[in-house]
Amino acid sequence: MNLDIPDETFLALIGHTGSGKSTLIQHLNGLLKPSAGSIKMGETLLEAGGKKQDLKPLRKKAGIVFQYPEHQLFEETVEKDIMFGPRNFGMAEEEAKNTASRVIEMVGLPQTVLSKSPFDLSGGQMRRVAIAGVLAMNPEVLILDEPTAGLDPAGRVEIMDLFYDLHQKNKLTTVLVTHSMEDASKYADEIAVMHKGELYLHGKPSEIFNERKALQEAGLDVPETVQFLLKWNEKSGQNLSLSDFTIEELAKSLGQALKKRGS
Amino acid sequence: MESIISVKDVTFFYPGEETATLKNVSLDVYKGEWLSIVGHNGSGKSTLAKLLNGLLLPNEGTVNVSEYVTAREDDIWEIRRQVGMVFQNPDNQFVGTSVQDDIAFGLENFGVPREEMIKRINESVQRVGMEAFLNQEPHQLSGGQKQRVAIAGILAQKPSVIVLDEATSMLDPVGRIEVMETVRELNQNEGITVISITHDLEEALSADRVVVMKMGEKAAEGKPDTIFQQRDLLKSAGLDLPFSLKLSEALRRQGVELDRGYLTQEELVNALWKLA
Repeated sequence: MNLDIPDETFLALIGHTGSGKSTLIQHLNGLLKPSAGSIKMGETLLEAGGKKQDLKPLRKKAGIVFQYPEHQLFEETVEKDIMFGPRNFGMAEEEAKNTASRVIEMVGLPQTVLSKSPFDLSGGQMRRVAIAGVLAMNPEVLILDEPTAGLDPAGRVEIMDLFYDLHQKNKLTTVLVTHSMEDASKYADEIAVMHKGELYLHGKPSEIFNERKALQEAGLDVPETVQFLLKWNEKSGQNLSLSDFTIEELAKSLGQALKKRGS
Repeated sequence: MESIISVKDVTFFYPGEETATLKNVSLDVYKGEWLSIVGHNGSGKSTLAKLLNGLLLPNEGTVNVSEYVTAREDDIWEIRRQVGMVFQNPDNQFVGTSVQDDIAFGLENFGVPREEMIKRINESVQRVGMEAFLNQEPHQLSGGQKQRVAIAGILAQKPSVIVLDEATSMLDPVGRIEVMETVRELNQNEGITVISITHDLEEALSADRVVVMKMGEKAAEGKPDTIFQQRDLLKSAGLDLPFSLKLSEALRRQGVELDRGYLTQEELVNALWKLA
């Protein structure tokens, strides 16, 4: 497969289980090497059959938040857990401490959490600590593997807004693996759909969501707003479309259509 | 209605914790119903699920399953046979090296004779549509298929209640539909009572009844169309409004004169069509 991800893009990577999404993202920071072809990330080039090389710069550049990242917490205190990565990459103790204190605020937790054991925190807080550990590496590329799985609806919105905020403020390049078409439509500049190990569709959300049949063949569907609009179009014989995929936009578009018919 | 599980004044503390995870919770589950339990992370809903078949025991209060009591040691096996649990992670509940071994494992624990065992394994895999996979190894199965095997393992024990503890939250949309359809058939055609702990509001919408948990207490209980009209209750319990209700509200803000909030897309499309 071939895929280019331009700088500062927010890319949603979608596909059902076994479609190859997780395998793809493991290539992005060198956890897996391609059997054929190559991956270029910034200055680092990973080639099939290439020589062993130092992957540290690559791993520093690309931070992965794995599924259920809180399962990987292990240190005695939150501070130590967050410092582990930076220290491993040679950051001085004092600087790593300062970093921990900075990133804990970024994920919306109070400084007092730093001295606690990660295992005394709630599930939602543990996930934030795990995310802080990734942010402490100051990555330019953020790879998120279903970061909201298992969270309640309010927690989901909080975590996704946090990532989106970071993406914009720090001018990151973000790859979000998700099953949620709603999240893809809300945050992504581009969507890549994987199916049976191949890049199946790739484009702007508006382009992807025009392909309902193709999405359904890949075991996926369009967001609820589009589903609703299609139902309405079928019932009314109208041919409305959306410029974005929020509920507000859908309501506006339906409201205008109703007014026109009424007048 | 006849209740099959009865939770009375239950308070529960995890060892070493100062605040109770469940505070004075009472709840009846009726025979044959589909009950969804919703609530924020940490609201106590999974703890409640584990109390239903005696995986956890209450510090105060009682949990009855028909005439059995979870706190009574002599009753616990019968309760575990009657109330089967499907957990969140499909990879954590497969114990056998093949689908049939996995189902047999549970039956062996209950001392079911071999002849009867074979019969029950064949029956239960058919009921979840996994008969073609009897000799497959777990790693060859998708998440949805693994969860269906877990359900077959429960069915083989002839349960009266299935508890789904966020059983579809790690599955992709296809796997989710697979598992939910399987459970829905068992509920509708065989009268098995279903208790589903879930964050999926659209799923809770199709339940017979919904219980909302909040900070260890039962915040509300009722039919989905009354529960899901209460936006403040849902918000304060860390939940969202279902899609069609949110759209109903947004339409009203646009000046569309809907008489009420609608719960399903079909109802809302029809209501709009009447206004046109």
